[in-house]
Amino acid sequence: MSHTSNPKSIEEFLFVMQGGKEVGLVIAKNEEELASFAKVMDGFDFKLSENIADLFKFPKTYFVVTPDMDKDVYDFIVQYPTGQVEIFDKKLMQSQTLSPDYKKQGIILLVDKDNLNKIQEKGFDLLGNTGPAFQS
Amino acid sequence: MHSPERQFNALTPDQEKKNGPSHTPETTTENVPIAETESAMSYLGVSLEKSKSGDGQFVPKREQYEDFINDKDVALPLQRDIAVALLSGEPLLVDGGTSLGKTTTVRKMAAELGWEIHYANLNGATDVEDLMGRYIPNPHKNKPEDPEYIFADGKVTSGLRQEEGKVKVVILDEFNASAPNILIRLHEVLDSLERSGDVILSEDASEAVSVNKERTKIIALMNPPGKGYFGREPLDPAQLRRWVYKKLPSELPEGTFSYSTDALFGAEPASQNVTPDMFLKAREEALTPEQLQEVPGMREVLEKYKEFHKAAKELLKNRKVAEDQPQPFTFDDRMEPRRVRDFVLRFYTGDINDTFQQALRYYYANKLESEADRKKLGELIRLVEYKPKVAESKRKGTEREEKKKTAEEVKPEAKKAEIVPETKLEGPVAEQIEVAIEKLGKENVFGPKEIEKIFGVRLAEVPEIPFSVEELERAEKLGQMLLLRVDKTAEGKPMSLEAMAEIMTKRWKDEEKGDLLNTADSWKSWVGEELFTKESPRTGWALVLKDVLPESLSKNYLEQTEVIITTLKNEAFKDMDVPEEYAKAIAEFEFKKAKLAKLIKKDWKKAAKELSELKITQMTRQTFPETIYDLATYYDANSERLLSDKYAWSASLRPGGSLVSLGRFGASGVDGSGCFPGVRFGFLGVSLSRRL
Repeated sequence: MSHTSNPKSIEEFLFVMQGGKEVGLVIAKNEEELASFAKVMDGFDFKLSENIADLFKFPKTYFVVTPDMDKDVYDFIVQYPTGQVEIFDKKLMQSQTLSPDYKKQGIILLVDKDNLNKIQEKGFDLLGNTGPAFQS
Repeated sequence: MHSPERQFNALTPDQEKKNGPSHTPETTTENVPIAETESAMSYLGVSLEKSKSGDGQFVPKREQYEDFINDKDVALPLQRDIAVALLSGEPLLVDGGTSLGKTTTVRKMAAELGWEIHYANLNGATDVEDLMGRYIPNPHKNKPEDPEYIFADGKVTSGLRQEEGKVKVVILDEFNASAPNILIRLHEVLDSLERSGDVILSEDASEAVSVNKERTKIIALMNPPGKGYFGREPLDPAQLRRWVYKKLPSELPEGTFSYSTDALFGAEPASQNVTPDMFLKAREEALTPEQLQEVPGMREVLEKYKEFHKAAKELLKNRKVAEDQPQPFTFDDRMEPRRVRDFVLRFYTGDINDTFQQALRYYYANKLESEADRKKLGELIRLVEYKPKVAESKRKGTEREEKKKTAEEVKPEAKKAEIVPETKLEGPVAEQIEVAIEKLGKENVFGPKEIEKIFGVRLAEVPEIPFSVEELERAEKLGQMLLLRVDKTAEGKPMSLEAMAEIMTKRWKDEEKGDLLNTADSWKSWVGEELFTKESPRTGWALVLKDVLPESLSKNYLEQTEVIITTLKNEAFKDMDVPEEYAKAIAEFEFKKAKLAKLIKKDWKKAAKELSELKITQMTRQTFPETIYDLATYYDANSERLLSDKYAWSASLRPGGSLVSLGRFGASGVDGSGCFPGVRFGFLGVSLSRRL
């Protein structure tokens, strides 16, 4: 997966990452920076999604990743560039399939460094499966 | 003279007009890497039928793959190999780096085929029930009698259930990151699928779900263990035997990266040029194992395959190949031969060496990552071949030695017809001609002297007669004549119909011997100027039947070809090995026969073209100018018209696409007819004519 080479600011990153075929990754140094990045994203009309199914509800969305993230998040990231995403609701035991509209959509994962390391160690390779990334 | 047009109408009652141009909606798929018709997709020649329903939430959308790059080193071979697995229903495990686009490739193919994708990522999944199903509170419970709980399918189970008109592909992504209990359960599914039996859902009070590998395909994908992929452990090689294992590079090869990048930026086409050897061609109907026994050379190839399998296992065991591959695997003693057999049944192209070697590349070499390893195994694969015994007749100029065979080597069929060594024609050509005259009679041999007398052509060098004494003896029994054909007139022009008509008109007019052709103009318009003025006989000696084969009458073109083959085997090459060129030509015909029989009914023009291009046709039937040349030669020398009441079907096509037959040679000349290949007439046969 390709990553952008150090855009000057989170604003610039948010501007250039739209229209990509992969999910973007914003890595904050800590919780404080994470909160400030979230604020900037809100200002850029990115909507915070509480669950994976909501990621397609708006053209620009972001999702805050924590170490206890649902595996659906990982499944989503891995499938997003393949042209079709199948999300499985374990409670209802139902699948929902979605087709990304790459030209119009922008999806970002927001995570702080500590949490990212924990997730990577669990075997969920976010760094390898996301596209453009930003860290200050 | 009879008008060719009138005769044409008599023989082919408006078939050409009735059929008209082909209206088949199918486009030509030959040599197009990814070809599409209304009903199928072809991936480097491997054709898969599209789903009739072709829609629904699980079918990926085609527009998602508009910028998919078909490079020749990764994307196209991968699609071909996936297509082979989808066609056969074998579970496929693809091991390769994450940037190769494995999942995208499978989804893209499903989008083109209108097939459903049921995706399960096994990384971190610990719950078998997510895949196979579980009881959940009944979301539709309205009445007290409604059950509290209902069984809901898991991701895999929904892919297993058969639905009318649907084909489903279950993707098991990150397969080697799966928990052991999940792998065990999935292998039970694979075993059921292999038997096309039932999957017992222990999760649902042992419900039996009927599965069918025609309708459900399983593809597992994995990143190589180690190599920076966290949590991927090598799979137990014993588990791998259930899968057709395909190893892709761990990273995109440099050339592929460069091409794909150029293509993305529009500097190269989205589909890279490929070489013909990358194509596979599936049979419309698979052979049966019984039919396989009739394939020439099958037994020899089989013996060599067994040796190859042992040698390949040794290479693997001694780590001479796949040394750096972190995922261990085996060449399984039971599964690989079965797969290779099924591949050969499905893809036999008429060349057993080629088909077998392709199968070995698919099931053995595909497991290897490095080029060096593939090359090493490729050298072994090349040894798996059948070398036909070449009949060393006179034409080779060497005396054949009596074959020394042990009792074990002599097959029962061979015992009943002992191979007799052939006697070559020796000495100068003049002496060879004397022997030919002795065997066939002076009236049936037309050498350089006769050709000079009839056509005015003096040859500077006369070719040697390529037939043995025994072949001439058999030719005499068959009723053949031996003649030397030339392709140029004394003036160096093509010995075309035009030239022959001109020569004969002058000669025969004075002798009141009638005509060879009626009016040149009508023939010219009938066969086309090109054929009339430029096409000439193929130079060299030929043995030509003076009549048609009696068994070939009232048979269509395809059936006549079968008669030719029977005659070759039982008479022309009696008591000798069928020469290699003929063995290959016969194998090609046997391979294409069933398809041609269907094609005659469906698209006669295409059938006529393919029939005329068959090696066996070219080797055993006269072309249009050759028939005229042969008839003219015999009549001029013996004042007897051959084919006076019959027609011989030639290897030539008319401009309209029909197959030319010639005959009813009377005082007004030879009649010509264009015939639809499916017709049968009591006066239309074939005259066996061979130059080798």
